[in-house]
Amino acid sequence: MVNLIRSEWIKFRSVRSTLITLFLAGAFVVLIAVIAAVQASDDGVTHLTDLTAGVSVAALIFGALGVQVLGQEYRFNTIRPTFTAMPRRWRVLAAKLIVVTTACAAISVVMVAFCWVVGAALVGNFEVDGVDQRAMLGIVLFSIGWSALGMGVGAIVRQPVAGILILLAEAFVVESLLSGLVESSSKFLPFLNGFQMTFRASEGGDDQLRSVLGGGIYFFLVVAVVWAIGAYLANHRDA
Amino acid sequence: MIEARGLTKRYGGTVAVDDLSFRVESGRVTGFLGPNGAGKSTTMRMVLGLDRTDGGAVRIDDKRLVDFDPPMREVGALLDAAYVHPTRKAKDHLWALAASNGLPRRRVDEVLALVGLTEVAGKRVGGFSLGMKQRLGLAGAMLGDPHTVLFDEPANGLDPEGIQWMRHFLQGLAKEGRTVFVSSHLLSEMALVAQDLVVIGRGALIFQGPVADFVAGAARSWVTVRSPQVQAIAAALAAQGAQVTQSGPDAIDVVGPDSTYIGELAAQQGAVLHELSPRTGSLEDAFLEVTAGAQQYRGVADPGAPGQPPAPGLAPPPPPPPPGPTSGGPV
Repeated sequence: MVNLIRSEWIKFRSVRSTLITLFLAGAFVVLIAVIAAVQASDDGVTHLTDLTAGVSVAALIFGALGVQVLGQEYRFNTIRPTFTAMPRRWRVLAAKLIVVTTACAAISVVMVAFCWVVGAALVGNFEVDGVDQRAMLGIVLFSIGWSALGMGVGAIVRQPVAGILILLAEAFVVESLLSGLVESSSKFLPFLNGFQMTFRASEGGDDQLRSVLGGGIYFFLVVAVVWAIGAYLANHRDA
Repeated sequence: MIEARGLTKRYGGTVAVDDLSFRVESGRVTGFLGPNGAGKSTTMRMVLGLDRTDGGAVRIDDKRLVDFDPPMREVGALLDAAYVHPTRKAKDHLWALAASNGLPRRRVDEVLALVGLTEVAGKRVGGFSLGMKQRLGLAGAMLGDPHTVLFDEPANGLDPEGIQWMRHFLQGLAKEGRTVFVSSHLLSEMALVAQDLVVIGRGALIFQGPVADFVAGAARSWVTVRSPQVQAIAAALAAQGAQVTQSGPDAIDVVGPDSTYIGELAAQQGAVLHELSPRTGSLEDAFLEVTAGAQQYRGVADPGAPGQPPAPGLAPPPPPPPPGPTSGGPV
């Protein structure tokens, strides 16, 4: 398994689009943090969570990265040499999952750290309390979840562009429409429930959603189901 | 040794590969032939476990592919030179494959040298020509120094020098005792490099056995006779029941009697012989004969092309002999 993880890491880092995507996600979050820090008022307390509004977009970028990790293998048919070299496909999929989620988690830790530094440097009345720390952990978990979800979608549709469009539509169109039209549906929307982990529930809390913990668990359950369906299909379909 | 038993693949209602059984022996180059759409690539993918089978099984040296650890030390394959990520460097492409099987990094340098790509190891693959990609694919197949290799159209995109290199490369692998299974549309090249053939049409086995048996069984043989008295010889041969075709002002092609018999007959006629040449059709002739009914896609024939009526003044070509029975080991 270590060999496969090394192999997937080489693939991951040796494609320009992957590195650019990761950089863009981190840079976007830090840019939003800088803008928020500059505009922050000195009258009240500014929390770290007030600077991490770019996380929702970054999560989608991580999702797109997850789609690419497998979708590009199908697009360029490199999945065939990959599965010829390692016919036990589930091992390849597990190695890919470990690599992409670890990379996204690492970048999200770095971007949160940058947000912290930006807040400390630019905001007069900056504070990081326990809720902020919980939200920072939530950001890392949300990033991991979205990258895994993207990989699952990529395994199902096997087309990078289609996979990314599905993720965008789910997060920004389907969930927005459903939560607006049928309030009771909110408890079943994975993005909104999972997204709660990343901010102060008291500010963004929604009675229609699950609790932060419950929403997080529900989000990861959905991710696990989608990933498992993708892995099953990748294992059983022609490569 | 590769052994396929009852391989079957369906796409909806279409049967792409139909109960196909064959055996590929070690120490020999086995050519895999068939018209377009015959199911060659699908079969190769099934042998490698890339396409799921609807029936049958494949064993490589009596094992399933998933039983080898690491797999690349037993099986190497080149299915299509285009199976590369265009923005990845050649050495990274190979290094990722090697790492997946725990192969040492020096193998990357070794196989790059083997295929002559050392100088472009650090270049992105998107800028490679088809021939360079083909060599890169071969390098990938040889990373694990495997005992069994499968190549699908390995000469695609290679220049004449590259094709000659490929020929020696395949023959060298077989001489080392490896199992070499290779498909190609270059029949003249296959005739030079392969000892055995597996021929399929519409997904079913047509022939398996040595190349010589295939050609002898399927391609016609004849004797070319050139003489100032060719009409007398032709008349004598026709009287004996031979099939005689005029092939020039003073030449005939004779199907039936061998050259010894014809020579003696000419002597009895008092004829001077300028040429008496036994001839046999090529692998291409044999292939076209045998797969004539199994071609899924074919163009509109030119006038004068094989299969067209003969030109005026010439006897019709002799009917082809029936293909020989499949031979080789139990399949």
